[in-house]
Amino acid sequence: MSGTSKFVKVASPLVLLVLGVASSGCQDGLTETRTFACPPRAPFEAHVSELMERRCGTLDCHGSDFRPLRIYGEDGLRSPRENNRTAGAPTTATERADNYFSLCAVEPEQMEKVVSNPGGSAVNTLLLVRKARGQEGHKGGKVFNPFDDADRCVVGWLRGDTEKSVAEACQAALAKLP
Amino acid sequence: MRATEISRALRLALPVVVASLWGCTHDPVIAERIEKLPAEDAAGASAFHRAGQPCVDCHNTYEGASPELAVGGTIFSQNPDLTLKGVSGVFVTIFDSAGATSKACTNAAGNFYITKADLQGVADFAFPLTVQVGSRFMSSLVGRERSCAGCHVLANEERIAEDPSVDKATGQGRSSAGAILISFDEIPESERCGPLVDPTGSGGGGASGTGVGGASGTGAGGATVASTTAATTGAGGSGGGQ
Repeated sequence: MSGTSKFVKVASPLVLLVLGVASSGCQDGLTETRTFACPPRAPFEAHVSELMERRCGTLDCHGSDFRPLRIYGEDGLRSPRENNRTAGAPTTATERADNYFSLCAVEPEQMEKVVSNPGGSAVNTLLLVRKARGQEGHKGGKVFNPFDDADRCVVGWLRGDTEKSVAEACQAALAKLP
Repeated sequence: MRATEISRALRLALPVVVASLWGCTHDPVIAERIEKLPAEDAAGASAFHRAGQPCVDCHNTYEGASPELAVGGTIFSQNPDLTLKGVSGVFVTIFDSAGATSKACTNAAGNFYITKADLQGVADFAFPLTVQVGSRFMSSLVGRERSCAGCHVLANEERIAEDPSVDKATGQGRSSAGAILISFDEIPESERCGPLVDPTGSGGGGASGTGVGGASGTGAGGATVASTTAATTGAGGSGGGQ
């Protein structure tokens, strides 16, 4: 076999592989958007966000640009769209809205399953819940115990409890924080 | 296999093995933070060095600086010209989630720390923590950071360039609470542990602490006093009593 045909034999599969990978990047639909359902926004912004801000959104935890589940808040990270400083102005509506989308976007498909079956057990499979309960690896350790006030605040909101019961659980959880 | 082939394979494998072992011990996040620290103080390493910098980035098992610290930080006051000055002789109290309380006293540089060895009866703090300095309580929890300056980051050129909201004097901005500031009227007698030196000359004053040892003879304040007992506040320990 001549040197040229040897080269062709070796190089052809490689060229095909490169072309295949390159063309897969051109496929349609990658920029499509899809909307996922998430539990109601109003009770989150009114009650749940404050607990998330105080318990999870400190600057050394989720109040960081560099970590997933970014949480904004008055004593933590501030939105880059506003000029507020840590320990300055109270948490803004923009920041609470961003916190909502941050939670909803962790596992959108799973979250939709929770919303489609309120009161079901799908909520227990959410990474958000499993990490907070210490059932999944979490650098911040166990944050909630199942059915304690903080758990009832967040999980109650997720599974569609009444706003009154969510509000009471969140207030009770906040009152217990130092 | 011929000896030359074995030798060649070993030569190829060596970098892989070295890289793997390095990956087990190298933390690029901490390494980058340490690399960006300013140069060491002219006086060299001591309990007074690197005020306002993240102590536990180095004083831990990773970097190996001694002593290994459980927490550490610097307390400042702000002069009328907005520059910062370390506050000596004020108690910093750490409350952990298991009910343990530890106290440390700031030294002449404003530095305070609690070593792992100071923790009595417990292996480590139970996070999250809350903190009291003088009569002030930190408004947020400490989730896991052991260096106060991990979040209370001072201003520097890089931060100011990246974030126009940064206060050039204190470092407060959208991602930092800035320097830990306290004014002298926020330090009641019960929270003093040595001679207060008021850089503004407008107050402060006398020493109230008894036996708060000076760390290296610079006068104002000992290195550390700490005591950790569940649900008990104490100020005894290695540096002297309250």
